[in-house]
Amino acid sequence: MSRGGARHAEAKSGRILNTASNYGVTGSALRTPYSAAKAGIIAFTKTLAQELAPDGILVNTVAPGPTDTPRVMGKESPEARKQRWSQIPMGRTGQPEDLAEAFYFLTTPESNWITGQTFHVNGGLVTP
Amino acid sequence: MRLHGKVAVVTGGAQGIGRAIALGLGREGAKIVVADLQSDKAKNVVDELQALGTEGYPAEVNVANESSVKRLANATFDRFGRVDILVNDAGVYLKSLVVEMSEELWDRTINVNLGGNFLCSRAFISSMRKQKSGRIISIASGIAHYGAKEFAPYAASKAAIIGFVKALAREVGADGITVNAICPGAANTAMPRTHRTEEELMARLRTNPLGHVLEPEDFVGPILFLASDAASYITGQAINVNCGSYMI
Repeated sequence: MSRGGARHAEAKSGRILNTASNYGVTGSALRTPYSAAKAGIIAFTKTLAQELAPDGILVNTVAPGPTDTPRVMGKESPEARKQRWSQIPMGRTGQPEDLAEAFYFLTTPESNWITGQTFHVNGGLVTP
Repeated sequence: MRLHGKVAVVTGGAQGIGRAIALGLGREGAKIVVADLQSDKAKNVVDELQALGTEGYPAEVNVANESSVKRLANATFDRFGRVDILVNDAGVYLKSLVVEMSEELWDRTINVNLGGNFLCSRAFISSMRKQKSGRIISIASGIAHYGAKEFAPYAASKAAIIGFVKALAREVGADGITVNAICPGAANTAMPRTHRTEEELMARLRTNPLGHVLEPEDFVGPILFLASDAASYITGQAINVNCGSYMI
């Protein structure tokens, strides 16, 4: 997908946004391929950012922490949920909207000079 | 106007990146306390804020001195009644090889750059706690990550700011307060000019993957994002704004 987008970036500008995970930095037992893949996305983002910078194309990744999506919430008991909240400095799980705000920021002129970076949106759970 | 009705304190707000941040937050409607050792320059920034249609207040402060910081906090509450955003930007950039360094140079750098973050953050936390919201944003530096020959105390102080930000974020998150850092890449300000010729500086500033010379105004957007409701779930992070010169 990134390659397809980059080929069309003739206007010397563009934004590529990837989605990693805090597990890409911390790892997560029993989630080896997921964690490895997400770590790979972070390194891929940095490499592509270096390759595409001369064309004015910015490449960044957003790394969500625990977020209220059906995939996460479906597996979680109310007790487990409370336990999880107690570990998150902001005292709540993330909402999809929290991530949308970070993605949106990375498409605006206000982030014109940010590239190759990982934005951790996790309520302070992981602070690499 | 994203910050209408908000009050922001910007230390080191009289010049360079701090001035750009003060004006940038003011442009979004925030009332600004321009806190700086250089009160004449702070007054000029307040005049600029008034021309933008918002209020400013110049406060003389030595961020390394607790009673001076307390006077800043009192002046802020007397003038505006609250504080929503604290930007810790005040800092010094002093040059010396480690083997030749005076203890005074080391102490001054740590006390102003790191101690200032500690004293100023602490002075405004209780008020932010009461309103269950607040934003503390510290200006660290890319040098925190990659170091810089002849600037060991500066590098150490900026790396320590990142550690401080991560710890404080964990202390105050439950009160709705986020704490983050921005790590600017080398920028076109007065600070590096004290140690480099104009030619050296401009050559260095252009050496980044995007080939853009970072200006003080370039850091305003990321600060506005972190100061806004949009970033309410981002805390304890250090955001690199460096044209891709260092990806970590």
